[in-house]
Amino acid sequence: MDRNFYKLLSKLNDNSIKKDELDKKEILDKLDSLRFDIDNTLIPFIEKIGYYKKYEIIDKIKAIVSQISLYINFPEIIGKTVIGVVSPDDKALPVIHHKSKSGDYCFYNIHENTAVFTKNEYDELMSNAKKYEINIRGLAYFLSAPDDSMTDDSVLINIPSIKKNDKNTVRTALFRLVDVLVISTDGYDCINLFDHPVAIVSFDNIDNKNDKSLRDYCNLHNIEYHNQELNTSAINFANTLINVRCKSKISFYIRMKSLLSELLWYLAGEKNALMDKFKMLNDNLLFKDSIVEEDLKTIRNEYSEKMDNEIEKYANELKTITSNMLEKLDNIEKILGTSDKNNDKGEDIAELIAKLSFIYKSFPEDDSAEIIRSLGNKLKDKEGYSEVADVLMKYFFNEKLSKIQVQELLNINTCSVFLDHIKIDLTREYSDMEKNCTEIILKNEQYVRSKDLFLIGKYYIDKDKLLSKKYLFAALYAGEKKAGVLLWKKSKEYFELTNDEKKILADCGIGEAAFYFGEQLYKALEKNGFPQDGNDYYECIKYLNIAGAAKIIDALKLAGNIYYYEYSEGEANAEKIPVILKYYEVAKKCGSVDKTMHERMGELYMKNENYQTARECFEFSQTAGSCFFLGEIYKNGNGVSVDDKTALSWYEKAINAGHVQAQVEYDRLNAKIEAAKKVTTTSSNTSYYSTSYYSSSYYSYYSSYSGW
Amino acid sequence: MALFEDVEIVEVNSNQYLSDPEKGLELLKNILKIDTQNIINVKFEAIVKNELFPVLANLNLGGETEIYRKLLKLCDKIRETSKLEFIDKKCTIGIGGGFSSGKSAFINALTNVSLPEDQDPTTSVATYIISAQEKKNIIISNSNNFFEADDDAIEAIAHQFQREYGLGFAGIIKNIVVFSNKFKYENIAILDTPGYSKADGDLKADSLDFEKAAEQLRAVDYLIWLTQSNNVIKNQDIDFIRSLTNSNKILFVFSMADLVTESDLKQKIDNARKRLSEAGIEIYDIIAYNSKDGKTVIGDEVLEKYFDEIDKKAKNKKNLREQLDEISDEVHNLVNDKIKKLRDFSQHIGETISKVHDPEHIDAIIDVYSSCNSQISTLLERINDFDVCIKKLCDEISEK
Repeated sequence: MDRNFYKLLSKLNDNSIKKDELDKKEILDKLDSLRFDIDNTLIPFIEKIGYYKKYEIIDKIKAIVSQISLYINFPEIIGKTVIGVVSPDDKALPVIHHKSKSGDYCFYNIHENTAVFTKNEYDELMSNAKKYEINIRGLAYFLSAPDDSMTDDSVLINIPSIKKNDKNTVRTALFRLVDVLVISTDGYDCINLFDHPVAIVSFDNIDNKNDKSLRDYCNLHNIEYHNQELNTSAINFANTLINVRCKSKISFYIRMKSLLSELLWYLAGEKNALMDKFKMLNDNLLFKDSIVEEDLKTIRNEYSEKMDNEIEKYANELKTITSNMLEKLDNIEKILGTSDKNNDKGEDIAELIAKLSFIYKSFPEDDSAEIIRSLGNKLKDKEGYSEVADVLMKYFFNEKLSKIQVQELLNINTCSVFLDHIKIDLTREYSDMEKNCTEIILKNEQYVRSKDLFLIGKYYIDKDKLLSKKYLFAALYAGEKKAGVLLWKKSKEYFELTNDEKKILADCGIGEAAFYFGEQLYKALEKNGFPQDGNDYYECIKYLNIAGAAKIIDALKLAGNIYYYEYSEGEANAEKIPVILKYYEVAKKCGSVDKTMHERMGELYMKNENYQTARECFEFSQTAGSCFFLGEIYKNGNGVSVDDKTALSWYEKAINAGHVQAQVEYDRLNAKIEAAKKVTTTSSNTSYYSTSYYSSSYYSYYSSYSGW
Repeated sequence: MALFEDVEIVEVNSNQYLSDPEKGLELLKNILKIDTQNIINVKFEAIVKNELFPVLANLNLGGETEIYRKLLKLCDKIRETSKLEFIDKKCTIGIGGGFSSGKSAFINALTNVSLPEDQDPTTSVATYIISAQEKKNIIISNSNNFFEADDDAIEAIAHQFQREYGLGFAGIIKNIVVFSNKFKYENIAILDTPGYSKADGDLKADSLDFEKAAEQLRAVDYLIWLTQSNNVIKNQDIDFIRSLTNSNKILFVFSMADLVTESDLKQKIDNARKRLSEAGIEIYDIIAYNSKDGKTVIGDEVLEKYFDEIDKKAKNKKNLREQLDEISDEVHNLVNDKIKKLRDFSQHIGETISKVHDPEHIDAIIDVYSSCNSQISTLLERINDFDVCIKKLCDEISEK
C-alpha cells in the first residue's frame, strides 16, 4: 500500500507551528497570554459578583477568545458576511467556502492548528479517506476550501445538521460567527447554536410546522426572515443580503467592552440602590427616635460597608483587570486588522454605545455631557447616521423624541444592555399600549429591573392570571411597590390571593394589606381591652404603623385609639399624650375628618393647656363633647376672653346633642349670669348682699319651689 | 515494549498494525469512527450552565463559588467518565506532574502494568488502570467511541505508530483503560496523565496541554504529584495544582530517587514542605521513590498507607447521584441558614416598628423590614427553581 496516505494524515494531524508561520506564532502567543489572564484573573473575579447573568457573560467572553483564534487561523473570514448553510448530513465536516487566490485547502485540526494542502494533496487525502473509511472529522474540526462561486464580500459555511448536544467548542465558536443562516425548517432544533444571526433564510415547505416556530423566533429576536423554495436558490438569495448589519464587523474589543460594561452597569445599579436606602436611613436618623436609632445605624453601616468594600471595590478591581486585558485585545485586533474604524454603521454605533455605557453609571451626569455631545457630533457628520445620532443625543439631553426617532433607535442592533433599557423606556413613553414594551423586554430577556417585571405582570392581567401573579410578585420582591398595590387591588375578584400571600404583601410594606391584618387584630384586641401580653398587640401596632406610613388614615386613627385607650383607661400618663396626638395629627394631615378623633385631640390639647389648638379641634368636631369643652373654654377664659354668652350657646349645642354634664354647667352658668344681673340691679338700690351670691341663692331657692 | 510483565519484548515488525499499513488504517478507522450512540450527553452540563448557574447566582449565597466549583467538577467527571460505569464507583487517583517527571514508570512500579515510559508529546494518552479479573484494554476516542483493543494495538499506539507512520494518537484518543489482574486495589482507578507542560516548560505557550491535563485532573478524587528528584517543585507546578482546586490532601513524590543522595533528598523534601505550606497547599506527605526498584527511599509505608486509606474510603464513595444530592443539601443548608437569619432580623425589626411612635418618619425602617421579607420570599421561590434544576439533573443521571 502507498504510504503517502499516512504522510497526508500525519500532515493533517500536525500540531507544531511551521517556520513560515512564525508571525502567526507571535499573535497566538499574545492570544494565549490574553486567554491566561481571562482564565486566571478575570473569570474568577466575575464569579464573585452577584449578577445572575455572570455565567452567560463568562461564556460570551470565552467565545470571543475562540473566535479570535479562528480569525487568526482563517483570516479569509474577517470582514465578510458569513453565510451558514445547514445540511442534512450529520457526519460531514463543516467547510468554509471562500474566494481564494492560492487555491489551497486548509484544515483546522483537533490540535487547533492549521494544516494546508494543495488541491492534489486534498483530493488524494479525501479519496483515500473514503476508500479506507477514515473519518476525517475525528482529525479536524473544519475545512476552509477555495470556491470561485463565492463573492469577495462573503464566505459560506456548510454546517452538518448538528444535534443540540454537540458540545465541540471550536465548531460552536465558528457557528456563532454566522450572519445569515440558510436552514431547512427541520433544522429548527439547532437554532440556538447560532447566536442570533441577522437574517434567516429557510428553504422548505412553508406549511411545515417548524416554519411558524422559525418565524416566531425571528420576530422575537429581531431577525429578518425570508423563505425560498430550493436550497440552491436560498443560498443565492443569501448572497444578495450583503447589506445586512453584520455582527462580525463589530470588533472584539467593543464586544468585550460591552460585556464588561454590563457588569459595571450592574454594580453601578446596585450601588445606586444602596445609596438611596442609605440616604433614606440618614434622613430618618435626623429625627432622633432612640428606639430605631441603633438599628438604623447598624444597617446604615452595613450598607456603607457593602458600598465601599464590596461594590466600589469590585468596580475598581474590574476596571483595573479589564484595562490591561482590553489593551492586549486591542493589540491583537490591530494585527488582525479587525479594529479598523471605518464607516461601518454597526461598529460606530456599537462603539458609541459601549462608550456611553462605560461613561455613565446609571444616569447622565454633568461631566459626561460634553463627552456625549462630542461623540454625537462626530457621528452626525457621517452620512446616514445623523438621525441615529440625534436620537441618542436628544435622549441624553432630555429633549422630546418623535415616534420616528424612537423607531430608528429600536432598529439599532447592538449587544448593549444599557441601550436596550433605553429603548424600553422610550417605547414605554411613546406607545399607547405597553404591549410593545413587554415584547421588547421578553425579546431581550432582561428582567433585571423591577419596573420591567411590573410591566410584564401588568401586561398579563386578563391574559394569563398565573403569569401575571408571578411577575407582579417578582416585581414586588425586587422593590416595586406598585406591583404590590396592584396585586392587592385585584386580590379578591381576580387573583384570589391566599391569606399567606396577603401576609406577604403586608410584610413587604403594602399599606392596604398591612391595614387588613392590623384592623383584624385591632378588633380582636378591642374586645378584651387591648391586652399587651402576647404577640398580637405588637403585631397589630406593627401592621397599623406600616399602613400608617402608607398614609392610610384609618390605620393612623386605630393606632392612636389604642394609645388613647391605654391613656384614658389606665393611669392617664401624660407621657402618652404626645404619642396619641402624633398619630391623630398625621391622620388629620392626611385628610381625616373623624369627629371623635378631633374631639379627643382637643381634649388632649386642653390637658396640655394648648387651648388655641384645642379650640380649633373642638370647633371642627362639634360633637356633643366638643361643644361641651368649648363651653368650658369660653366659660373659663382658657386662651380666650371670658365669654359667658358664647359659653352658654356651646353648652346648649352640647345639650341638644345629649350631653348630660353640659346641662349642669349650662344651668350653673345661667344662674350665675342671672344672679349677676340681679346684683347689678340691686346695687343701684345699694343692696348689702353681693349680686351673684344673692341671685344664685335666690334662684335656687325659688327653683326648688317651682311648684309654688 | 511489553504491556504485561510475562510477555517478552518483541520486534516491531511482528506487530500486525506496524507491519501491515492497511491493518494500521483499520485500527485508525475503528478509533475515529463516530458512534452516535456514544455521543457524550452534554445535556447535564447544559442544564448546569444555562439553568442551574443563573439560579445559584440569584440565590446570592456567599459560599456559592465553592458550590459552583463542585458542580463544574461533577460536569468534568461526567464528561470524563461518561459511560465508564466501571470507574464510576471507584476513587480515582490522578498522577500529575510536568513532562517527563516519571509518572508512567511510577505507575508501572505500583500496578505491575507496563505503560510506555518514554512517550513523546505527540503520542501520550491519559490512561486509567483498574483492577479486574481478566486483562482487557479499551480505547476511548475523542468522539467517545469505545473500542476494545488488543495488546498489539496498545503497543502500536504508545509510540511505534508515530515512528512507523508519522501519526501520533495524542488528541485523537481521549483515554485508554487498562484492566489489570495484577493491580490489587479493587476500589481505586489510577489515572496516568500526559505532562501538563511540554519539555521546554513554557506554561503559556502550551495552554492546550495545560487545559487538557487540568480538565482530566480536576475530575479525579485524589492527586499524587511527581517531580524528578534532581529537580524542584516549580512555581508553575504550584500554580497548576492550585488551579485544580482538589479538596483532598496531595501526596508529593520525588521520583527517580536513585539519581540523588539520600541526604540531598531529605533536604529537598524539607524545602518542598515549607514551600508548599507557604503556598497554602494541603500536603498528605512527601516521599522519595525509586521506580526502577519499586522501593520508597524516604517515607516508608506512606504509599501503602495512602492507598489502603483510599481503598477503604472508596467503599463508601458516593455515586454521581449521591454527589449531586450532597451538593443540593449543601445549598439547602446555606439557604435555610440565610432564611433563618433573615427571619430573626425581620422579627427584630418588626418589634422595633411596633415600638416606634412616629408614623411620619418610619419609612426607612419599614423599607428595611420590607426588603428583608422580600428577600425571604425570593429565596423560597428560588430554592424551588433550584430544586427543579436538580430534578432535571437527577433525571439525566438516571437516563445514563
